[in-house]
Amino acid sequence: MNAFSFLIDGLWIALQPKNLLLCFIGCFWGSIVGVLPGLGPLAGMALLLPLTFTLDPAGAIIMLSGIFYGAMYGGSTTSILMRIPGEAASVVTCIDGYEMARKGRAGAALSIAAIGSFVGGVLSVIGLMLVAPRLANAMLAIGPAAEFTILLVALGISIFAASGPIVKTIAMIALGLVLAMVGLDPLTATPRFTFGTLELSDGLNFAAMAIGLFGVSEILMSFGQSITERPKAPAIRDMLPTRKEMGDSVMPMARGSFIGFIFGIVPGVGHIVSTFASYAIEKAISKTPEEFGKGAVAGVAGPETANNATTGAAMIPLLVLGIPAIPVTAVLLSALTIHGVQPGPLLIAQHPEIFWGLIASMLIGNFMLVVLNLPLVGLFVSMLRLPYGYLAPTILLICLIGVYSIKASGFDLMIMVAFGVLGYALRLLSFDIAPLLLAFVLGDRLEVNFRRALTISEGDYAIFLKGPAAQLSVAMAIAVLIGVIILKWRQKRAAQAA
Amino acid sequence: MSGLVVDRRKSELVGAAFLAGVGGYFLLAGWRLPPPDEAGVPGAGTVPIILGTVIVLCALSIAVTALRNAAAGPLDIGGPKQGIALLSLIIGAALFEPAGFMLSTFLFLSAGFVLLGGASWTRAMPAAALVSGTLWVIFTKLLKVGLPYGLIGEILFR
Repeated sequence: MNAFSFLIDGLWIALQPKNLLLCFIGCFWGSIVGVLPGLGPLAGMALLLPLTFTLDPAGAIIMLSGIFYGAMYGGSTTSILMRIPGEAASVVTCIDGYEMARKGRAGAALSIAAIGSFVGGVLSVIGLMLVAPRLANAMLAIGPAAEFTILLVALGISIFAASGPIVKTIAMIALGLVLAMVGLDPLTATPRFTFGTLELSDGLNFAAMAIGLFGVSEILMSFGQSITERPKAPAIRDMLPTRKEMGDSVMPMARGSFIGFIFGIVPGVGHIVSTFASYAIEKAISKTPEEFGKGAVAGVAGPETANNATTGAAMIPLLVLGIPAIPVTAVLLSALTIHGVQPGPLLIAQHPEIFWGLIASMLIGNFMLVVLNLPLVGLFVSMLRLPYGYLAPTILLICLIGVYSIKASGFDLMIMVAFGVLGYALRLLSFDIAPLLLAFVLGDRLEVNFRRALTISEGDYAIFLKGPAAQLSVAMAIAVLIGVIILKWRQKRAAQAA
Repeated sequence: MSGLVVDRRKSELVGAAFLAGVGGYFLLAGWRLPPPDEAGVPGAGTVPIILGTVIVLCALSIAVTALRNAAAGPLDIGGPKQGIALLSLIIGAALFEPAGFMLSTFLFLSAGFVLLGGASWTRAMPAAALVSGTLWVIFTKLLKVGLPYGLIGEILFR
């Protein structure tokens, strides 16, 4: 069977009424969490994670990934209408999207963002479809030493991609790794750092940690950012971009798709860097760079396309290597693991219904979002009119319910609160908390592969550089590091200029 | 934000001390774990020892940077709203199981709407009851998620 036949099978799975409904729920909830400041895709997915326990694995990942790319769509609404990014990846859209809105082109900006998101989403899914099976075949040959090297390189790259100072990011990665070691030792079953409690013998609950670190801390941070502006939804007749605006968007969308896809594959880099990179490149090659910051169409089309192209590409390290490139895909990893499905090179062969069902559902979901988001802008805007003092307790309550429903454990609620406080304190002190969560998810595999490799080599550390896979990953890491450093520098310059 | 303002340098030092404490704990606790069966092969404590050391070294670096940075400036750590939200979350989490979902969420939301949203008690309490009830129905009846009944739930729903 070729990729096309598998895709037809995937469409058959994704078009089943139950999966279509799950895709719709995911996309709709994702758009809401993307719109609401204080609720990002990670918290949105973690909150609905318990709901997926009663679903089959394909349905679970279809719904959760719908939230992921739905949030990317939704995030642009507040960026354009209010200059408030609904989620971090929409920061760049604030610059020219809001300026377009001020010039009376809010509807066109929203349409261009939606079309760009659709184009980026669909092209990245096609890329995922073509790249993932080939990469998975190559990955089947690697052993524990190479796997350890790849995981370490992934974490190493995230150091440079993080927003905080390097030392603080290293501390976060080490903290995430060591927290993953709480519980029974995976090789000897020795209890470690459990304080003699039964609750910790299974390790720290991922969802409690994630919701605390990202959901609770985000709500606490958001109290300081009062929304004074009353956004107005543009009329449907104003939604259509002009012929010139569409013409100006075509090439930025094509470039944004490519940039987003490349950045999505690199662990730890993700949406934020890809949008900044797209903006910087569009401005650099534009014939009218002076228009950037004053409502340039390319400043919306490029970053919004890159943003969604990253979403599909971020699935590649997750599904093929079992490495969550960004915290959001860590939730997907967690969901699949709960269902007894281990993402990695064997996933496509052992669970084709999940892989191809997901791909097909992403194609359908992206189409659904374009149809959904434009007519429903008014609804999303009305949600922003809710006073934050009412919204925050309700969101915190949903966080409590979400964590409790996983294991019916009051202890996990306390873990969530503790990590909420920790996340808030760390963010105040300019620590980037995303690497902590990535390291936590990878910690177990990193340690197991490290120890297995050294057991095989009888303590010889040179094993980590033996074999083409390990050498290739180190070479790629060096290349990517150079690229990321250059782009971080450009990103800083673009932000300063904006 | 405009809330309690503290010295950033001191806050960085407190953060570094916290990290050093956490790293030190994992370093020492890792040291006390059973040694590996074979020499040269890592055991249960090897990786925690390495990571604990890395965390302590990072904490030292952060502390030194903070001490050198004389012009660090102030740090706004949040106002009363953050404190109220956090306190109500702690109380809500502590009461969630013993008091049950309905009572704990009703109290949590009522207090939140009044203290964070500025609503009057007469408006907040019906709103809290409505949201609690709606969430109860959504999660327990539609999504089949088990939530603690507590005393009120036992009387009303069982």
